[in-house]
Amino acid sequence: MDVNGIIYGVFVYFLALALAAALSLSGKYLKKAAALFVGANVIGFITGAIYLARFSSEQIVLARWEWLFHFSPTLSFLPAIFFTLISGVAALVGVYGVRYLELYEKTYDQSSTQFLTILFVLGMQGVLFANNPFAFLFFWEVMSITSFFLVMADRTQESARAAFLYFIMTHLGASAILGGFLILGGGSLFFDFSQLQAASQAVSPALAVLSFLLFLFGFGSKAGLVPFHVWLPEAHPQAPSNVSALMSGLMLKIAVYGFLKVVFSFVGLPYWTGLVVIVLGLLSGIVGALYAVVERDMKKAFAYSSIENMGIIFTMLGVSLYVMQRSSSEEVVVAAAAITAFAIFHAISHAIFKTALFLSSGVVISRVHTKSLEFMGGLAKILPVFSFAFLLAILAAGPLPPFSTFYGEWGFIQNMIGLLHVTSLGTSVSIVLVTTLSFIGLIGGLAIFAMVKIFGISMLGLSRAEHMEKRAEKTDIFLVAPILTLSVAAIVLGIFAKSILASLLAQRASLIGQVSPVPFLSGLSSASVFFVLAFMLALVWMVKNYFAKEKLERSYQTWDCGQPIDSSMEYTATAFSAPVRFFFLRFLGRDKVLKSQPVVATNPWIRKYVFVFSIRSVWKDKLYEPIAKILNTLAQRLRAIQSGRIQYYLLLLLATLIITLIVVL
Amino acid sequence: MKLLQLLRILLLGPRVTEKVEIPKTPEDAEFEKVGEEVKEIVKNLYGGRSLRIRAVDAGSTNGEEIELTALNNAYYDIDRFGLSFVASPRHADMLFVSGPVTRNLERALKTTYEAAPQPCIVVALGDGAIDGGIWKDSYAVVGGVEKVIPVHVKVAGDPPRPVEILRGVLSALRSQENN
Amino acid sequence: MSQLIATLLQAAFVIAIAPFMSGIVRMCKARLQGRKGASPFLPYLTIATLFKKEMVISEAASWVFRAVPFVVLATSVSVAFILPLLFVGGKLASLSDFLIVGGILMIGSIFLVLGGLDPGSAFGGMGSSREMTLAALVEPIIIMIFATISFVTGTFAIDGMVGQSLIWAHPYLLLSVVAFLFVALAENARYPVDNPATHLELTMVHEAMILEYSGPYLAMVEMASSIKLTVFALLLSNLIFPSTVLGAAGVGIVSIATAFAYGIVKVVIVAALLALLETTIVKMRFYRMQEYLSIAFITALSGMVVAIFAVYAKIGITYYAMFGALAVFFVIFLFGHARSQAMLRYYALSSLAIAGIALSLSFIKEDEKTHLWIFALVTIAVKSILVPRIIRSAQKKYKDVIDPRSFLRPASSYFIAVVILIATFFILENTPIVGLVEYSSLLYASIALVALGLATMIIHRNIFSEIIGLLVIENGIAVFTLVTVQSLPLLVELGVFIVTAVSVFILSILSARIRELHGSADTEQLRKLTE
Repeated sequence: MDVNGIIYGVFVYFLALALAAALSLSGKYLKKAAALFVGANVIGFITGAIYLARFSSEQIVLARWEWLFHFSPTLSFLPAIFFTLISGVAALVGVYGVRYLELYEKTYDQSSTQFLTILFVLGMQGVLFANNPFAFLFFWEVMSITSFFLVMADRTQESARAAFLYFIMTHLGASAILGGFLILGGGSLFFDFSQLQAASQAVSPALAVLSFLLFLFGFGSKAGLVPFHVWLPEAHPQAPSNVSALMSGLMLKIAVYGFLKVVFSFVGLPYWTGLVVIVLGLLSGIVGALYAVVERDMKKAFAYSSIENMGIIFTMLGVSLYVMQRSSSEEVVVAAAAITAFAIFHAISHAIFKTALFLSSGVVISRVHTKSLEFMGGLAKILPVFSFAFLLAILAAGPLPPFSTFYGEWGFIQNMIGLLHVTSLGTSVSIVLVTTLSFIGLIGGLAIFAMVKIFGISMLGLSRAEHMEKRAEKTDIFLVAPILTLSVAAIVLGIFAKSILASLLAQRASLIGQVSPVPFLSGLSSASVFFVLAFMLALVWMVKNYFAKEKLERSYQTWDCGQPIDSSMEYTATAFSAPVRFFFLRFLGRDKVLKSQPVVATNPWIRKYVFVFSIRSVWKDKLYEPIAKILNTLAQRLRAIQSGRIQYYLLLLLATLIITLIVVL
Repeated sequence: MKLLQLLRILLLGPRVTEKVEIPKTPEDAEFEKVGEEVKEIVKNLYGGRSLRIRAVDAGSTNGEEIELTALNNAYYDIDRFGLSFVASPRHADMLFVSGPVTRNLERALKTTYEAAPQPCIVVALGDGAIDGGIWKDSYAVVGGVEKVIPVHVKVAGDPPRPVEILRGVLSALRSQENN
Repeated sequence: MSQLIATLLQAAFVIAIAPFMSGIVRMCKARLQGRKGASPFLPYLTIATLFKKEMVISEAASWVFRAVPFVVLATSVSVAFILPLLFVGGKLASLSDFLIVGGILMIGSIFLVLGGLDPGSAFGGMGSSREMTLAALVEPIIIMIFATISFVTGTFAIDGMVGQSLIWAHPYLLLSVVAFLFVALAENARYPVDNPATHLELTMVHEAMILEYSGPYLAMVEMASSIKLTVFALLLSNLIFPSTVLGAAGVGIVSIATAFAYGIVKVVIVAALLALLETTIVKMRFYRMQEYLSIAFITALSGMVVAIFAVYAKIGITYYAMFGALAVFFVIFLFGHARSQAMLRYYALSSLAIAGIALSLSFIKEDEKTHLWIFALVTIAVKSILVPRIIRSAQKKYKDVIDPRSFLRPASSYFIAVVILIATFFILENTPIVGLVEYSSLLYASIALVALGLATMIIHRNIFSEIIGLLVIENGIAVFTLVTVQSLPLLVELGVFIVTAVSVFILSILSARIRELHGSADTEQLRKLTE
């Protein structure tokens, strides 16, 4: 297979996607369209994998369509990683979607949902192939608008509001990106991405900083960085679970890709810009993790966890930017390049496990018909295979050893400790690094807490749901299989982490002109971690069976000091997270209302108590509400102009004309 | 310094359980003897074991509980014979049931017995636990542990003295050994 | 080959001795309480019993409940294989990366938590919630401790860290080791975090999660926690005494016997110390854990900061710098406490550290030896002994039942202190004075003391705390003079001490009078006096 094979593969992929979209729009061949979608993505995955294995150093220009706004789709190493990832994950989500949409026949309009989903994937993939800002923004909009419609697929009031918020935020972000490109291109949107570096040098430093800030806002708001995150926990959970998985697992990666592609081409930014990225990243990490811990809506908690992971990725990118701005000595540049490689690796792992988690949330919700963790529980007994897959995904979400997520953070922490040794960086850098180090540790701990809480409360214990569907697990095999595949993928990626990271490191190093690959700081082998742990488990199992041969077992009710037990006595999600909520009270908003009224009017002692507890978003209260208030008052002031008399408007027109003339002349 | 004083007491203070410093009554000597026997029998019971006890209060006057606390204190210290109290019936090898089993606690007692893994020895402590004691034939009590769960050994007394309790444990273990 | 043998022997040793470790802790505790206690070999018998008993499994439990004992025991056992406990450089030494080990222990905690949640009882849920909180908040501390050690030693593997002599060559790493002790107590559910002997469900952490387990599963979970305790005990002693760990390469009969002997000695000593600790301190309320954990974190962070400082400022191993760091360190604790008794204690310790600075300077400045000796002695006499006594006696007469609380919670005040330290550091970085003085590290310490003293006065509400804040500022100035002014006439210095003592005397008498007249030592209450 040569380069042409790759080109054919990509074209077949896009044509098949378009065909699948058309088929689902027609409404007749939904199943076939879904199968075509899955098949196309498998082809895409294979194509991408072959490219990565064989031609990773080449940049392939697939076609040159000068007539189509200078669009010439290009495949290079970085987009190819995301291309492979998106097609692989989308194939599994496609399999899942078949059964999922069947379950929710009445809620979602099947043909339009499927059509929009396919178009959504098409948009994401298109962004990767864009070679100039125009194509980039075009596909970016395809991605945003389709997902906007998907968010309100169930056509309820609540999701319409979430979708509207999403629409505003994503378009503010898109316009910021547009502005950034316009500044870089000097008003043009048709310059090639290969000229980005030259363009950033051509504009004045102040403009370069301005465009950096615009890009940071644009990509950061798409990635859900705090404080631009308010839309994410609203919009992601409202979409159907397979679409939530695509949005959280994949769309956020497009933002990371954009940031890597554009901002890392900038030359000569002042060093505080890197610091800004670090601060935003750490803030997102800590806020995302804390809210994921206290959140009681399962999908919202996963959305907050996405914010946290995006925070970690942007912290990595920020540290990389920051140290590169502070020093250009070889060891620093190499470490910075290595950190970006680990960030990309973390993005890949996040795509895998977060997709698995959102798909799992779909399975859980399809059984208990609520998103609230307070009404779940006891599912592990009905769904043993699913609960195993879900548990693996949960463990993969926390940075824990045999899973791939661990190795991204592992490399990041080690590189930071390595950077501390570089005395030429100065003490302020080391203070930044130590602070980052401690926050990363805290974020990791809280993330594990959040994940364990979600699994423990939703799957274990007694069932709290009023109507739990107890149909056999076999009927949902198409829902479970993709999740299991993704969870296993997280382990497999963890086993091969070392070699995958080695090639990523070599690639990042070659970008900065380093010929020799970046060495690992530790002699650890990722495969042996898995095999040692697996061996120990087998050993313990054998030893136990040797010593306790006969199985004496009896089943009896849970011990609770001898009283009858029911699910109302279980620990709830709110109770489980109470210690963390208490320890971090300053960072979390909450409302506690205790109302009491006498049951009998004559006796004040017998009272009925109502306790209401709710978690509030500090960001909404302290940041967005004041902004909204200021805008509102401004609008009120401006309303004075709007008198409704036509003569008045004409007067305004005249005044504008005169002022313009004065300014111009 | 307070800490130094505390350390001095802890490290150099008298050993309360020690034989020499406190004059022993014949009963104390018997306690010692029975304890040693229990220790031996526990060791040989099923081929090398310890004995963990869960105390269940089925409506007692707390007289028995005070004696149980006494078993744990520094003077009697049943810990040295390899006996210990545990927090859950799941961990227990033996149940100490005290009280005449009030109607409200009948279910709790039954649940506790069921929750403990077999083999589990049940010791009824005190007159109340044997037949209801002073509450015998009251409408509020079931009257005797035996009516709710099988009992292996009964220890009479209201409340029984620690040495009697220990003797009860011994005879319970003997009966188990013979089975 | 010999590496493999060493690793296998080490794991076998740790697994075999683990029940003995828990037994001996129990026995030592009983002895300290004046009891005879059970034989230290009792846990072996218990485990043997449990393996032959029936299991009662909760009806609500799923497969997770059954998987938990296997995973928990497997994680403990793998740590026993991986870490350098008896032999350094074993077969699996490359796996002893600190993040990997932390992650493996975390998996064990997670499964224990799931096992607590699965039967659906309130006790299990409560224990799980607490255990998970501790495990999550301990994570940054572990990372900070081992980041420091790996920064100093240049290796990420704990194997490499133990292979070097740490705190003997780098005394400031003692801070990291102390922080590791805090972490070890929290991870193993010992005092002051958890009471391992409690029967009250509401005070349980670890025990509440395993209430549902019985028979072989219970034996496995108990075995796992004993192994974990033994591993931490051995690792902690290996970090302090690296020479007790033997090389894995070329093990012979002699070296195996020595390693085992060392291992037994270490286990017994650590167990005895643990028992002593558990009888002398009390368990903390769970909701005060944030205080405990932030102290542990600040200790670990101080270790890191001093280590970086040592590298950047090229201080090397100087005792005066270490004493300077200690002086600041104690003042941070002073800052976080609301009780003026505790504040006085830390003030005395901080002053002791300042005396230490003078003493260690005396070895460098030969010509001022006697002068510095007198300074140190007078500092100890006046500031560590006399001044605290004066304030204490002034306070004694009208002791408040509850000291007025400070404006900040302890945990937040520790973090404020860190922010103040960073700020002073930045300010000094950009002032030209640093380069001029010979002992610049002490300059940082003195300015930090002044800033912290000021902050103490701001956030505390007790008038006696205000006096202590003033004294801390005075301490900072004393360090400053020690560094900048080469030799002050002895008379002037002694005069300063007398003035300090006298002013403290007058101030505390005045404060006591105010306290007596107005019935409160709370500055908020005393604001009324202005009217």
